[in-house]
Amino acid sequence: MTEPVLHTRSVSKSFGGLQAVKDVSFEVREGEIFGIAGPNGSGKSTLFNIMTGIPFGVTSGEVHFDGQRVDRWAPHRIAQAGLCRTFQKDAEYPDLDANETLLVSATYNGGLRGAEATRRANAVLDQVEFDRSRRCVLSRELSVYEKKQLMIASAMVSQPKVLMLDEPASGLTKPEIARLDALLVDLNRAGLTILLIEHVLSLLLSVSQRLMVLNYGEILAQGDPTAVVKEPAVIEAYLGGRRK
Amino acid sequence: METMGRYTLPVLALVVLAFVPMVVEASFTRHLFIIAFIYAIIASNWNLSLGHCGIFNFGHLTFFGVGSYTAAIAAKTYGVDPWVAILLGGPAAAVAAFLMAAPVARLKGIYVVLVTFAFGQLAMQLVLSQSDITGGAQGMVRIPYLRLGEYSFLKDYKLGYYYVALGLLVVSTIFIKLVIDSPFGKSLKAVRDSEEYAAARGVSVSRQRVMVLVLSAIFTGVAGGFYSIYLRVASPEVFGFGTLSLALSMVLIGGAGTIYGPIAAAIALTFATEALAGVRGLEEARFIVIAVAMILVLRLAPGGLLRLFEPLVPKALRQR
Repeated sequence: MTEPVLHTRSVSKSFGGLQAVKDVSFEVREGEIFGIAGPNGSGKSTLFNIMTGIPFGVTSGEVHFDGQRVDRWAPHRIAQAGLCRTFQKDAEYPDLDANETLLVSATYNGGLRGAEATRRANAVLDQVEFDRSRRCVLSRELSVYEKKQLMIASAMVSQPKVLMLDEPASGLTKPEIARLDALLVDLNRAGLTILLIEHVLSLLLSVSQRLMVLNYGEILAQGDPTAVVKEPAVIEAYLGGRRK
Repeated sequence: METMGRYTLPVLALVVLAFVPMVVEASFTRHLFIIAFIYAIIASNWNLSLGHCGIFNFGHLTFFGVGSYTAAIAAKTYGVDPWVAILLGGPAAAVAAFLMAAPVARLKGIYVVLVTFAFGQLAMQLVLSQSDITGGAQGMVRIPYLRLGEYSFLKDYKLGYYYVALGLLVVSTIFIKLVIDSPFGKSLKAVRDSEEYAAARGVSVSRQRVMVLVLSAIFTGVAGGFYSIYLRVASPEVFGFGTLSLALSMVLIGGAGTIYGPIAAAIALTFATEALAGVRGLEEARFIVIAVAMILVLRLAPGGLLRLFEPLVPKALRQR
């Protein structure tokens, strides 16, 4: 069995009396696409937040990445170690264009300088098929899909070990989702481990090799995606059944 | 070709400013230009932290004050050559910036304003209380002036000081441009616009904040040093709210986040405040007029006046 590149041990996050994530333990194996599903408010994004320390860390529990315990590390250090995330909402630097956005990541996350940083940025923008004629356009003027491409590219430029994607398909059209599907499969085939939160179940089921479902901050089920989505508890959670 | 185009306007402006003393012989007008250049250095460097990195730093004039007193004490008390004393203002201000930045690096919003403003007040109290060294509320006078061999800067109708001030402004602006165009400069905008995104891409938000505050202090401190040597006075007024609000209005009216906006505004506002001082009834109220102008610009053109003129400039000549 492949060693987990990333795993959590009983991680929890509380906001006052509200427990957003409760005692979640799971592992991600090198080279897989691991899907995370769950209804709104089930703690998926909070789980991403506490694993990356952005904007807050765990209340309790441990996060292990690439053989090291990282839950007390500064967020930028976790990113530099190779655990890179995207955000559910559009994250962008409105006054920077695509080249400049990638230059920041290549410099600070990838440790690259000068021509090497530029070369790597161009290669990654090509890899995500970012339109060459749009690379000098300010981020604020890009389309939703271009912003998603850029967010993924800015993570890829530092050659992360694990890419964490938080609802990359939100706001995209069907053809764009199909392009995203193909991109994720390509990246994974090239050896990238992906942790994917997604509401678009067709995409999630199409690309994930394993799936975990969260509800009320707890793990409801995990395992083979087709089997997980057939579990009665998962169906009930998604159809809005009463919580027992 | 495009690069040449982008530098056309700044170089043209520099050529014009270089020829001003040939046309303007009045000592007082030259003095106004010198003061304008000093303010331009303060405002454009303040813009590094405020406009480019989004730090609500209200202690920027402290760096100027520290530079001013460092040069004054070095030149007058310790007999250091005034040229060297001016330059000493830079590292002294950078050290002050580092001391201020340490607690500020992890704070946000209004707390940054409070801490940085308090730091400025602290520095002023220090200057006032240590009167044996600083002259206290009286300040320091008769500070040694600049000489270049046998050439005295006191007897040339401010011609020498004009070119030194302009030279400092040019070097400071090149420095700012290099910082802004570097990956570090891009990371400042990243931190300003999305701290979380920047941190997720390996940028240490607190480290960038400390660094930009220190960098923004260097030429501000040198300008402070020059100010003392030029006027031959070091006064606690430099820490006052009046100087602070005038410099802030230059940043905001010119355009926070631009490179040349605060410089253009500094020159325009220095002459505007002087012109208003000549209007009967406005001698003391001129700063209110500037404050109203600042509020109007913030309401009607939040990007600053320079951005309003941007569409009139051919694309190839524009600087972002």
